[in-house]
Amino acid sequence: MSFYEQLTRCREQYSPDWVRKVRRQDVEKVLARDRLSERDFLILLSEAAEEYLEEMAVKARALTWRHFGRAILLYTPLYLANYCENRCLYCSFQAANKIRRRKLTPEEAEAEGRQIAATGLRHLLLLTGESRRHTPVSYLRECVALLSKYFASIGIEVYPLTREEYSLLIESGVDSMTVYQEVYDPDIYRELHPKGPKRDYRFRLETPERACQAGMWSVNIGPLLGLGPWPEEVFWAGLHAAYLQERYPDVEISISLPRLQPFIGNFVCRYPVSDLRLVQALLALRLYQPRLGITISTRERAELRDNLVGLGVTKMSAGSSTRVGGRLQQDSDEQFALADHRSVEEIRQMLYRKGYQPVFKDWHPLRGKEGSGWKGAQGRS
Amino acid sequence: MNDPLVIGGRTLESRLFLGTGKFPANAMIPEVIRRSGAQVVTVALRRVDFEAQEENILNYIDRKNCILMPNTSGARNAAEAVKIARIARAAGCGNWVKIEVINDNRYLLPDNYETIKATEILAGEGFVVLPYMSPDLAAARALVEAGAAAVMPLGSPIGSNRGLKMKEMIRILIEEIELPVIVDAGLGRPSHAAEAMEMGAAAVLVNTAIATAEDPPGMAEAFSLAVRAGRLSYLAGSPEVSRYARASSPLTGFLRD
Amino acid sequence: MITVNGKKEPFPEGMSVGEYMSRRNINPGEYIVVLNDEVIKPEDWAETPIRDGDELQILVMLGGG
Repeated sequence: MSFYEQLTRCREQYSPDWVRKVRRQDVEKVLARDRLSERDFLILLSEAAEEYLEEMAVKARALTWRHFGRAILLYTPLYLANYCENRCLYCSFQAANKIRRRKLTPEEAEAEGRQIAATGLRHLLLLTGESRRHTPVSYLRECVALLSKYFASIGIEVYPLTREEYSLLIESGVDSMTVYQEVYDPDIYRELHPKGPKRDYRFRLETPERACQAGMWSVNIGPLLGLGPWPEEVFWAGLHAAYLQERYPDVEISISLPRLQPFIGNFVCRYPVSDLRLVQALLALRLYQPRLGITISTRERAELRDNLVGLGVTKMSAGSSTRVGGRLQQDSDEQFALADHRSVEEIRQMLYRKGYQPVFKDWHPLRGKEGSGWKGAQGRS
Repeated sequence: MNDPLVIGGRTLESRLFLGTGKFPANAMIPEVIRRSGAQVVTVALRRVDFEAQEENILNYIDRKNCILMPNTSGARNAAEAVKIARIARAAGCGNWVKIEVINDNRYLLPDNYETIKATEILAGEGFVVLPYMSPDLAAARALVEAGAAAVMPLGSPIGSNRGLKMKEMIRILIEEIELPVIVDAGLGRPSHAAEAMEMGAAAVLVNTAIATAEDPPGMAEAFSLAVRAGRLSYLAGSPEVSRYARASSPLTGFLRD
Repeated sequence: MITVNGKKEPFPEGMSVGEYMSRRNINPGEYIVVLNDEVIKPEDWAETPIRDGDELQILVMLGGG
């Protein structure tokens, strides 16, 4: 069964009414279990579970320590370009917005990368909007090739690619891929993506799977919290993660929980997610999928991020900028406003104070530019 | 307190099922049933031994207050179990049946595989099937698929009175199986029965411990109280949640600041 | 020959179940009578013939766990 089919089945099986009927006893039974089913996961996202957050937190922390140790991986985004063909109603970069459009040359990207590497970071995430015209795969490959000498890990968060394209990027030195479904509800999705290639719901939904098939080492997914109803969106995102982990047990699956933040545009957030619910989502995901990586970005304010460190987060961005060329000059617009402006060094100190080890480099790539290396770029059959 | 157990379309107030074997005298049985509060009573089908002058146990069971549950003891495979069940029903013993297929004479452990086969056939013929089984998740799932009305895992080997040696396996069944889980066999003391109920068992079946006690009606009452205590404890809120002790300063306290 | 409760007996030619039970002093309703895996109710005893090779079981409900 494809994930699309599983999602359709789940939407029929679990109604909002079902969630409303969850009782305290149901939550307690789930908390006493070690292996949670999808049904258990949904129970932890119910209103009845709200009074058990502390118990969930204690258990989530213990599980995270067991599987990840007391360590947080640090990374940062580098925006290569903000050209975009889509008109997503909730995003600064969308085609209808009159913003300053910029695209870094590969050399500029390398310069910014060098600055980032000077802070000690060795895990980089490259971002673009969706524009095959301005930022084709060949451009991405060029940038990756230049940057790979400074970074142990290069991830991409760009438009959905085909499996072959992922293979090519892996060959160039990419090991990680991020794509957010944004919203799993197909009707809301259709409404929020009126124009552009992003309209293709199913193609986007199946993107992480194509990356896994191409041989990506880590794959990161996520809902954009606030676009769709609670708790459904988190539920489906969790199921998506479970589906991928089960099918591709050798891929590191992780999830981000970005929340809609102020940006350029008129979009009103219909389903705002409170801090409490963000925490509940984080805890429920950790209990449901103990080995799932969980990321909290600099969309969130500093104190909240710090509190979340102890609750199951495994990756954090540091020293971020969501502007193209943000560390070189300021003449482009942000994709979204940051709430945590701390430097890499400040984040590092915070983690030490909390008893965590900041991890700047998680592995050393043995692959040469020629694509040699024990995993190679053939991916899986 | 409204906490009924519904099995096979029947609503039960008592979660203690009673076995009627090994009693010193059948005449004791009505008193034992009364003191136990049991609403489900098992019996066995046997060939008449004309020398022994055995009495029909049904003379001692009031069918108005009890559901009769013939067991298929003596069956060594599914075919024999099915035969016994059909005979019992045709003879007017109702459509409840406890499937007991044992081909191991040393430990009297049930054969899960034959039990699943028998369940499928009898459930298909409209029986309310309660299979006695060795606690095994895969077998339990197969029994659910086959149409069982409940599953009855053994607590310990029959007659051993050793209590819940199968505790962890039974816990898994209670967690994973949607049907009522009724712990059968091996419960030697009322505290064992309470333990099973506290874990979330739907009911327990007790025979040997009551039948061979010094005072069977007294022991029947003790078991009845223990089952109720265990059930009340389970409903009142499992303390299992604090298996993970609360941190000294709450991890989620910041949400309420 | 017929088998009764597992034991072989000479075939009681021409007898019905009812007659056989009378001969053994078994009253209707006392036990469960099964002829070749089929339960024969007391009201049907008189009309049910016993044939050569039949298997007869006379059963009773006893205490059991």
